[in-house]
Amino acid sequence: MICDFGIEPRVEHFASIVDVVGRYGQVEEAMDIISRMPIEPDKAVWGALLGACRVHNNVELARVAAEALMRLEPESSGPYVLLYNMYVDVERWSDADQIRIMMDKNDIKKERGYSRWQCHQTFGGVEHWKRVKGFMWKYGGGMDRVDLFRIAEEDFAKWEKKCKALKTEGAKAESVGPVVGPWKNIHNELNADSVNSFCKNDVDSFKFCIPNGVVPLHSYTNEKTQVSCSVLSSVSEAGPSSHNMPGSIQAQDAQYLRNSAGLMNLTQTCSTSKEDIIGNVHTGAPPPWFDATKGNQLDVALKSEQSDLVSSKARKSSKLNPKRVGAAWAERRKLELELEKRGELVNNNYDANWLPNFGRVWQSGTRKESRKEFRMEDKASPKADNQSEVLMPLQPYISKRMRRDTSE
Amino acid sequence: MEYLLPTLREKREVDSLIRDTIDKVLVLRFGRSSDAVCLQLDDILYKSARDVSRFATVALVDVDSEEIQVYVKYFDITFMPSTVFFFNAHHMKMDSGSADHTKWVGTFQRKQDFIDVVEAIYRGAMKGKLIVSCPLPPERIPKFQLLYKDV
Repeated sequence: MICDFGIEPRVEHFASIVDVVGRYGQVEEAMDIISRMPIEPDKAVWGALLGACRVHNNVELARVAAEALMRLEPESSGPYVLLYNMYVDVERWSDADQIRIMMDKNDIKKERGYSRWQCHQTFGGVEHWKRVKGFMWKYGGGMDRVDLFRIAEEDFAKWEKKCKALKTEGAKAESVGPVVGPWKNIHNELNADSVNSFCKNDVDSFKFCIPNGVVPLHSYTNEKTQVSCSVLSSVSEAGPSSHNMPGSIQAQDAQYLRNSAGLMNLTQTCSTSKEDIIGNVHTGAPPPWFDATKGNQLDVALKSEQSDLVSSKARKSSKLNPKRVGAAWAERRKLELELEKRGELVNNNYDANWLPNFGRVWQSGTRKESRKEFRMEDKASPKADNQSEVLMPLQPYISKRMRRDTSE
Repeated sequence: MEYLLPTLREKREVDSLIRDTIDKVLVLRFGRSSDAVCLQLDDILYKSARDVSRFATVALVDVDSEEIQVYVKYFDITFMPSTVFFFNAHHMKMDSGSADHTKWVGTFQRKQDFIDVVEAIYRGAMKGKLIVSCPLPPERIPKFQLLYKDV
């Protein structure tokens, strides 16, 4: 790389290589690369390896990577969660429990619904940034908008705070939802959420988390609600959801996931038959702010306005600016044309010498003079041609004094 | 382009057009229909002729015809293409930053430029001004040099 491109490989390059090699399936090779790296591997590198191991189910290497990550980022719950899930998948329950114990010992808090590591690593990391930039460059699109697809540290911190607040609120309300169950669903929720966020391509959606025990209101009821991410928290805090909760958490979650997999979270306003009778814009009914009694007055007013418009337009067109250029000439000409149309005046006197009004380039004075000048020049030019035929005898120049002297 | 825009070869035709165009700007292009720059200008004129048809009429004058030489001398046409503007049989001048205000020498870079110029002339004429200033920035105005003779 140094010879070909003149750049020294940095840790990001190694992260990319590990990622590609790992995704291809050769996780041992990837591990090899890491061990031979001249630079200290950072969390991006280990993260790439861990992801690859997760995909290709290599538990041993996953453990190595996870441990490295735990050392690098002791507060991150991501590696724990991922390793836990892997153990659960291969049914190594004792190891899984051990991970749980480690988490409690180190006071790691697992966030519901969306792994911090995956979120921040994937969407805040350097790799992601590079990949997004490359994609945008390749497929066109505002390079200045790349920032949108990246989560900054502050935003992430804010989101975490929100999640914690939601969790505490949810804990206060009657949350019957089983605590143990969702553990097993970490993986599924993670996947579902990452899929959703990729669909939406919107920074806000990344911050969404389905807190346990708080249910998004879905309005198949007659209440009008808004199922938008930002409003969710306030709606859930409102409380009427509590009676919905016990049996229907899973159902609601599934519904919500299904809905959010579509493009927009539009709720239907309940359209009762009453409104249809009254009529709407499309049927041409008058708007509700007009009284029925005043309706007639309205029609009259409208009609009179229209007639006014028509007449005013006609008035405008007939009154051309009398000061416009050539107004007098235009009026005269119009009259002449009308007369010609009627056949009274036949104007066949075509003047071969007529010249339009024209102002010449180098001319002082009015335009009338330009025509006169031109005519004079026209007459003068053939005479000038004649004169040039007579050869002028060449004579030396004699000054006035000399001429005076000679004449004296 | 002769079959798309009215091309005039006789003085009589030019005269009648000038006299009969009332309350509309008359755009007369003096040039040869075989010249490259003329062709470009003709193309722009043709494409915008319909858009400005409510307040302008466009016509082409062939500069190679004999009867038109009078006008060539009268209007001092030396560069091809030159465009002269008339309103109600009065000649309109436009100050485009060049030495010659009596005509527009050269072509337009865009249709919109031409439409802007014609609109400026129309507005000035309606207000009673015989000379208007050019609405285009100087980089879009074609530059030329006037040669002097017998001054």
